[in-house]
Order: sequence, then C-alpha cells, then structure tokens
Amino acid sequence: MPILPEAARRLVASPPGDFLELRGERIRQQRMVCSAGSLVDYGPVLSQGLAARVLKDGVWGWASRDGFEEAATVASRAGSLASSAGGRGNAVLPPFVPAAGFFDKPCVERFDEVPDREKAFQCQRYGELLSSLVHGAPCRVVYSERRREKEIVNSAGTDVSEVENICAFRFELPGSPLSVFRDMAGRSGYEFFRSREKLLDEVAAEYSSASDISPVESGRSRVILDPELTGMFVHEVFGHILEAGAHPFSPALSGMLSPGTEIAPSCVTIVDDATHYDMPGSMAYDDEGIPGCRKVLVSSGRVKSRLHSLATAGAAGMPPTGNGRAGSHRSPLAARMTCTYLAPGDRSLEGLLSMMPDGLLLEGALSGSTNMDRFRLTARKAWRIRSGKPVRPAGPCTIAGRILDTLGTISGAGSDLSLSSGLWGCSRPGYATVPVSYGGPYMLLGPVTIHPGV
Amino acid sequence: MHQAERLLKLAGAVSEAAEVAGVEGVSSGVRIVPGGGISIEESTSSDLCVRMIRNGRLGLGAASGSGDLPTILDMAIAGSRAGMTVGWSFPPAADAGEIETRHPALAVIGIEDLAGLLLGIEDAIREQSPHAAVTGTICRRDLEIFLANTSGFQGSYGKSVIDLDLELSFPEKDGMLVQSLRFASGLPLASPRTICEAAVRVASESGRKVSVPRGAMPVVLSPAVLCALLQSFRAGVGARALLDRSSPLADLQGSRVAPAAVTLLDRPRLPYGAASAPFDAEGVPTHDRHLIREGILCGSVNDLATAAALGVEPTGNASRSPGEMPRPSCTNLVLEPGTASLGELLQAHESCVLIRELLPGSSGDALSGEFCFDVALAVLFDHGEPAGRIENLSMTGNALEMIGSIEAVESALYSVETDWLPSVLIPSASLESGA
Repeated sequence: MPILPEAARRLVASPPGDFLELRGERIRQQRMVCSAGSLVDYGPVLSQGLAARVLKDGVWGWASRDGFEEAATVASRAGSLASSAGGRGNAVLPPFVPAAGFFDKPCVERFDEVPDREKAFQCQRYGELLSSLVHGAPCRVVYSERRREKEIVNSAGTDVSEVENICAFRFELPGSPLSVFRDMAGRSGYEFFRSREKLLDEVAAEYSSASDISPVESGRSRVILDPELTGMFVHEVFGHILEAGAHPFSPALSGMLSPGTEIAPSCVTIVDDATHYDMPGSMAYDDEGIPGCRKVLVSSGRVKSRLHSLATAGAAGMPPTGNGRAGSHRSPLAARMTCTYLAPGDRSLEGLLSMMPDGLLLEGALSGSTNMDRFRLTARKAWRIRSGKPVRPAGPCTIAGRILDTLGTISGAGSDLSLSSGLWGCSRPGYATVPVSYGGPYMLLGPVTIHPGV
Repeated sequence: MHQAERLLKLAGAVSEAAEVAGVEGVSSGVRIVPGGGISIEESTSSDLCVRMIRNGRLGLGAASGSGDLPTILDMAIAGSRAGMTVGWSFPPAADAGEIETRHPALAVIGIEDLAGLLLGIEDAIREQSPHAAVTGTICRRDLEIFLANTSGFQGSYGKSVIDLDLELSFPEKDGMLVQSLRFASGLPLASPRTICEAAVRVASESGRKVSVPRGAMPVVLSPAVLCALLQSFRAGVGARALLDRSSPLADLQGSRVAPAAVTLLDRPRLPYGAASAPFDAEGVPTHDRHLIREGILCGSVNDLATAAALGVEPTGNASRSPGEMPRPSCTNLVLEPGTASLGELLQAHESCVLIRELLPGSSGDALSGEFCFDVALAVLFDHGEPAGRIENLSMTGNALEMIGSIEAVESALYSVETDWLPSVLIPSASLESGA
C-alpha cells in the first residue's frame, strides 16, 4: 500500500539539511451521532497528505501539505524553515537503527465492508434500546471509526508503513444533575461495536440509581482505584511527566526524573508498551519509523526511562524509544504515551481492602488531567469502605493533588491487570489528540483530597 | 476555489439540493522545544465538504488534499442513504455584508517576528526567575473560506488569526508554578512583556502558602475561569439541548438568570474576532445578538436544522469542522464591561480569593452546570492586598447559578480563547483547600 509517490521517496536521497524525513498519511474516518432516535451528525472524511521534517544547523523545520503532489516543495520548505532561525538551534539527531517493514493487524469486519446504513441502524437501535431502559429519557449514541495508513521514509534509511484501525463508541444519558455515559475504543474493525447490549444495561442502571446515591463527603481519605482509574492515574501522574518535552527541563524536575531517582514506593512499576495490538495507541512503528516496543518507565519505584521522540532523544543524549507521535500529517510530532499501565503486584482486592479498613473504593474513570504540577482524576462512583467491606455507594467524585505529594502515597498494587481506552484519546496543548490506552490492577493510595462531583 | 464550484455542479446534478464548503489555510508557527532551541512549522491545508439532499435525506462527504471529486460525491451519496430526513432548505443568496476579519498588521507578521516574540517572552520571565521556562507555540493562521449552494448563496471571506498557547513554568522549592497563556485573536499582538506581565507578577508575589477554611467566601474569577464557567451556558443556549429538553435553560427564555449588571452577547461580527464571520457555516448571515440583556435570558443559538425543528428563524450560528455536520454554537462571547477595576473587585470584601486558573480539563457537567473545579492557581486577598497562594483549592457549585450571582463586573475585557471577558466578583462560592 504505497502512499508516497516514488518521486517523493527519492527525495530522501538528497536531503536539504542534515536529515530529511517524509511521512505520508491517508486517513478515512466516519462519525455518527444519534440523539433522541435520530441521526443528528454524520461525517465521513478522507484526509491525506504529507509532512516533511528537516534538521539543519541545529534547528528542526517542519512543513506539511494536503495531497502528495508537491513533495519536493514541502521538503524544500521544511529546509527553508529550518534555515529561517539563522542557525540559532542546538538540536541534534540521536543515533538510531533505520527500520524497514509493513504492519497491518487484520480486522474481522473491515469498516469499508459494512454499509453506512447498517452502522446508522446500529446507532439508532442502541439509542432506542437505551431510551427504553430509562423510560424514554433522551440519550445519545456516538460511533467513531478511523482507518489510518502511514508511510515513513527518511535519509537515514528508514522505510516503514502501517495500517491502524480504531473503532470507538459512547453511550450517553444527559441528565441532571450529572450525565451518565460509557465510552470504549479498540484497535479493531467494526466488530468492536457489535453486541454491546450489556453495556447499555450498565448505563441505564447507573442513570436510574443516580438519584438514590448520596454524594461523597469532602475531605481526605485513603482510596483504592479500580483498574481503569489506576490506568488514568498512571497516565496523568506518571506518564505525562515522563514524556520528554511535555514540560521544561527546569532544574527542579530534571533532577527528580533522572534515571535511578526514587519517585514512588517499591510496589510501583510503570510500563509503556506499544505492542498491545488490540489497544488504541499500539503501533509497530511510531510516526518517525522507530519500532514500537515495551519500555519500563519506573521500576520498583525508581525512574528507569523516559519517553522520547527523535528530537527529545537528541536533546537529552538518549536513544529514541519509539514514542514519536502525531495525530495526522497536519500535526507535528511529540513524545507521547502509547499503552501505559501499572504492572500488577501480588495482592488481591480483598488483600488491598484489608490494608484499608476505612476509605473509599473508586470505580470507573470519567476524566483526568494534569498541568505537570497538579493532577485531577474523576471517578464515576465511590464505595464507602468500613471495616474492609464496601457498605454504601456514593456518586461521582474527584481526587486531586500535587503530583510530587501524591506519588509517595501509593501503598499497594493488585495482582490483576486490565486495559482501557476511551473515545477521545489524549490531548496535549499545541499538539493533536492521539489514541492511547491505559490500565493496571487495583491500587491503594492516599490519603488524597476528595471532592464530590465532577 | 475552482474545485468547490465544480463539485457543487456535480452534486447539484445528482441531488435535489447541494452545498459545498471549502477552507484553505496556511498555519505558520514557532514552537519552543525541550532542551533549548525552537522548531519552525508550517502547515498548508485544503478541505472540501459537500452536503446534499437526496430523496429527502441528507448526505455528507468531505476530503482534504484530494482532487478526487467523485470520491467525495460517493461519500455523500452513501451518506444520504443512511442520513436524516431534511425539513429545511439551503438558504438563498443574501447580502451578509462585510466585516473586518483580516487585520492589516497581521499580514506583515512573519516567522521571525513570531520567534522573536516567543524568545522575548522567555527573556521576560527569566528576568523574574532565571530557571523559568516557556513551552508551547505561537502561530499565525490564514484562512480562505468559501461556501455556495444550489439555492443561490455564494460567499467567501479571508481571515487571519494569531493562536497563542503557552505554559510558563516557574521552578519553586517544592515543585513548579505553572501558568497558561491561551488565546486566539485577529488583533495585533502586544509586546512580550505585556503578554506575560500578569504571570510574572503572580510569580513575584509572595510564595507564602495559605489555606482557607472550608465554606463559602467571596471570589473574583479571572477571565479564563469565567470562560470555563460559560461552557455550561454555551451548551445550554444551544438549540439541540433546548430541543431535547436537556438544557436547564429550556424554560427560562425571558426570565431573569443574572443580575442587571450582566449583559452577554454573541458577537460573530466582532472586528478581528477569532470566531468572526460574515455568514455562518450554512450561509446564513450572522448578527451580533444579546444572549443575556441586563440579566434577562433573551437568546438561543440555532442552525438550519434546529431552527426548522423549533419553528423559528435560523440565527446564523451554524459552525462545523471539516467533515462534520453543522451544529449550533456560540461564536465570540463578550460580557459587557462593568465599572470597577480589578483592584476594586478585590477590595469589595474584607477578604476574597482570586481564582486565576483552573487545572486543565476542569469543565464540570457541561449541560447541568454542576462543577467541582480544581484550582491550579488562587491567591488570597486581605483588604485588597495579596496574602498568599492557596494550595489544593477546589471550588464547587453550579455554573449557571454562579453566573446568576455575579455581584460586580470589571471594567476591562481580556482575550480568552475566542471570547472577550472581564474578571467578575462572586459574593459567595463554596471553597475548600486540602492539606
């Protein structure tokens, strides 16, 4: 499935700088929204184009253009942009082994083999089922599919391509005081959207019981996070600060994140693994053509590695880790997570509960975010734990705090592991949203600050 | 836009009615990359989207970078087999008038100017703190928008916008003070020092940490925080939420929702506004309109589909991303300025909390307005003087109720996202600062 024309591929033989990379992309996506029984949004988009990146005199120049006709112009423009800084940069290219290959994880049902009519019917059917379960309350069903083909060649000899299919959906009951929803995503074909009736039951049951659930009390408490929340915690609290380039190399933080530095208790081992090929964020090759792989970021509480793109690896004097990612050809690259999780420990949930006779068991991730200094994480539901037993459910709640204050409070990891992913992916200021997944086992931490609501 | 005109002819030949939208853009920017240095970036884009009504049903197809018009047509035809039934028509030719969307001063801003500005901001904050750092981007977007339909509408306009999206990090003894600067505007940029003046002032103020007792206190919300609070209002006045009755504002048209000091406008014709346009994404001429006039809710926003469903005239508020169906959205929200300075707002009560910035992702429940905001940066003021920063602060409440309780409005407006907003004084907000 060549994307780049032969003439474009030949350009890398004579780069307009120290290094030239060309990335061709063809993305076909479809989105449907069904609300109150009707299809209110429907949007197939075909997007294709190329991005060129040049390293020249210590400055990265990057240019992109829709379509493939003007590859030489785009490559030349990237070179000119790098030159426009007047050699003021100190960027260097790290050593790496150029890869070659093609990867396409087969789908059971390819998106283009299922008619749009059938997809729309399925959205409406789920909508009607959900509405009937909640006595006609308004509901929304969102369906999203994305097929991305990419091809990367560079002047160092890299020549790789990959196909990525992602299917995602969301069932939502807008409500007062709070909306109830579930969303899921998988690196999969249309089969991922089938047979989701059980999830509809879950959403409806949560909506129907929402008025009977009291809010959680504000304050500080120890908490056990379920695997989905553990994953989001790991993503927000560990993952983002370990993405090289996500924050400035201020002395305060660069010292804290040096390899070998202890940042968490010994029960904490954090992994970023791009090879979970059922999960969004997985990839055989990153968007710079570096093979995706499994990296241990934190081993027994100590920093072992950070996530790098070519640019950040060059700046840090480290090898790239296969985490250079862009949302599309229109978006520049950055070091981003793939599938990030807390490695399982050796305790059962009962064992963790016995370590926390009083506290909260939090279930389901609604949202999470960080500004690199502080984080917040919102849980769908909380169970009050008394004498090691769940006694009373409570509504959505948010835990928040300073990252540095919270890392040391992790005191136990369960023995199970499950991975999750949502409809939207991970956003970062200045860059495109990229698919990611996250997970872990049950995890005990705290005390942390808790507030009711979202 | 020759391709767009051709596509309209082709689409018109296979449907009852058709519309073509095209957007061509060039985005040139500068990014500060880790480890020092800068990255210079440029992206040239070309989007084409067709909607057609075929056998009474709506189909859509969109592509970027493709001259393959039959593929786009095929997408729309396939979509019309599954699409919604249409109870409205594309609007006819109309005089949308002209508005100022391209400031002449922006036309001469080059990559070197943007790089100079970014490095100037870095210099300015390092005068305050030698290890302070800037990350993020600044870029100039130039867009050419074209829209035409088979009912006779045809229009186009150009637009230039500066997008600034920066994080300023000041290392402290036990972590970092992180402040965001984020706006989109068609106006010329101020000097680097002016842009980061407020952030530098906060970093230079007492690093003393204080806490506040759990309970209600007066707060002054910065324009950025007010912008987050207005998300619920944006969602609530959207006609889709009014149609399915999920909006808490559904029965409040003509009712008092805020004190008389509050007048909020949707201003799609704001000169050089980032979301300004002479006509909306469906070709309906835009108009500046009151959403709240002296505290009375008096407006909603709709597109062709929701206007038809509600039996009202479209308001010219359709917006869309390439490849999406239009949806009713507010454009540039402007809260009319009051009479007090920020200092006067901070002195209005014996003590109050200035909420400057929320953690990213703090949005609450967009429809109901219920929120629990985690505050990234808040300063306690005692008799108008800063008394220290409050750590681990959260603020809970309902956004619509909080807007309804605004006590005073600042006399100056600031650019936030696409809005122009002042700081506002809220007499009582539920706060809690953790340990």
